[in-house]
Amino acid sequence: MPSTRSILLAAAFALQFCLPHEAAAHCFIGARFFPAGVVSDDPCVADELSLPTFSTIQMPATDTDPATRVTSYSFDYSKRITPDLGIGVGGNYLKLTPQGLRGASGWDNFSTSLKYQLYADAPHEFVLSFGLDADLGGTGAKRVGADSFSTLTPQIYAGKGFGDLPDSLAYLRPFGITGVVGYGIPTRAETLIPNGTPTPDVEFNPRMLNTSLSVQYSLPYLQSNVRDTGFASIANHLIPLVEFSFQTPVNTMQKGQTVGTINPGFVWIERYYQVSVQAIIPANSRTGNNTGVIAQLHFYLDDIFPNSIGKPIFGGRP
Amino acid sequence: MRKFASFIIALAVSLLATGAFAHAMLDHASPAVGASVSGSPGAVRLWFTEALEPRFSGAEVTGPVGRVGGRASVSGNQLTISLPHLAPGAYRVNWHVISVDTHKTEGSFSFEVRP
Repeated sequence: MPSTRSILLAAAFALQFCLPHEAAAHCFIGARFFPAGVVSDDPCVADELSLPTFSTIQMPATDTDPATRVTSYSFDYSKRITPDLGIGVGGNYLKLTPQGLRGASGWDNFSTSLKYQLYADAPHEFVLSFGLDADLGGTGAKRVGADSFSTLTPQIYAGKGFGDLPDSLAYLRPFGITGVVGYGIPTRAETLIPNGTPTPDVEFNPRMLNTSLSVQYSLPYLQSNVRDTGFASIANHLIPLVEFSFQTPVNTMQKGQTVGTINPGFVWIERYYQVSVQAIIPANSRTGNNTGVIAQLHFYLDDIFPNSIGKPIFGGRP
Repeated sequence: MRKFASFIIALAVSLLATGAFAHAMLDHASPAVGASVSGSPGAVRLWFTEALEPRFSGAEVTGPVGRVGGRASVSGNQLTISLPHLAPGAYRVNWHVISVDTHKTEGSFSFEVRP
């Protein structure tokens, strides 16, 4: 087990940017398909499974702690209750390897989610949803830094495709953006940490403003709605994108100390699944200075099992 | 971890071998998406990645004088709209299809007819 709690906390905090926040949806709005993001969840509700999401990044050494490699294997499953209402569950298995010290591994806290798709405008390729994420305190292993308290995060999701641009801007129509804004509220404002003295250390748990954004250029959209490129075998499958993820504490002494990552990469779309590969680049020096990688295999359960587990429990077509 | 990897591989292989159906995406079209063609095409043909449900799949072609073409016909994964002689100009194809497992998709594209 690593000798310092601070290593674990730093690693677990960094992983907030390396892991999917919840399972994402097979998201068609009009002619637009929003792929599932690995950092910024798409705004739809669907039956899907991310298994696995793999990420690895080297966290830099600090004045007191050695550099630590953080590797994660995670899953996310989402299920439609009705065509517009879905639930999800996710988990991350962490492996922490500090240089020169014995490593630790185990499950981080499990999470659940609820999402409702409020509005969809097919001609304008716009969708709006809201939801609630719950990170379940005490369900993970302390040795990998899992919090003993829960965090509730109300979230707003939105997506917009630019297929309604005029003909003079036709080559910009394949652009699409999705975004998520959430407000993380810990169920405990502070955590007491025993230090061998009668007076334990106090760690404050800030409320967090979580924002993420995905900017994507859909080659399948270009291919089928704007211009046949002549390279259908590639263009029908590939969506280059850049995702951004930021977390900003809004209270305690950490207030305003934003950390975040920039994640350029691509999504490869197949009939029943998609594969994502993206870099993890720290957005500022506070986040770190090493790059990492994140990759995900994501299954469209609504296509694989359209008449059973891939359709809503109540109402609607598959 | 080895069992986990085996499960993933097995699931992926089973998907590659499955006969299930997915969302019907436009694979290619004739005239091609965004193309400029010389002379009037006799029809617009769309090929999709999945078989279509004929009763709930259709398309229309509009041009400088409004809607042109007849009712769309569907066979397998192909949708066809017969066209009268088209005058030179810009035309737009709006399509909506439902694959045989009832997933809906839609889209549109333009093509140009040159003299």
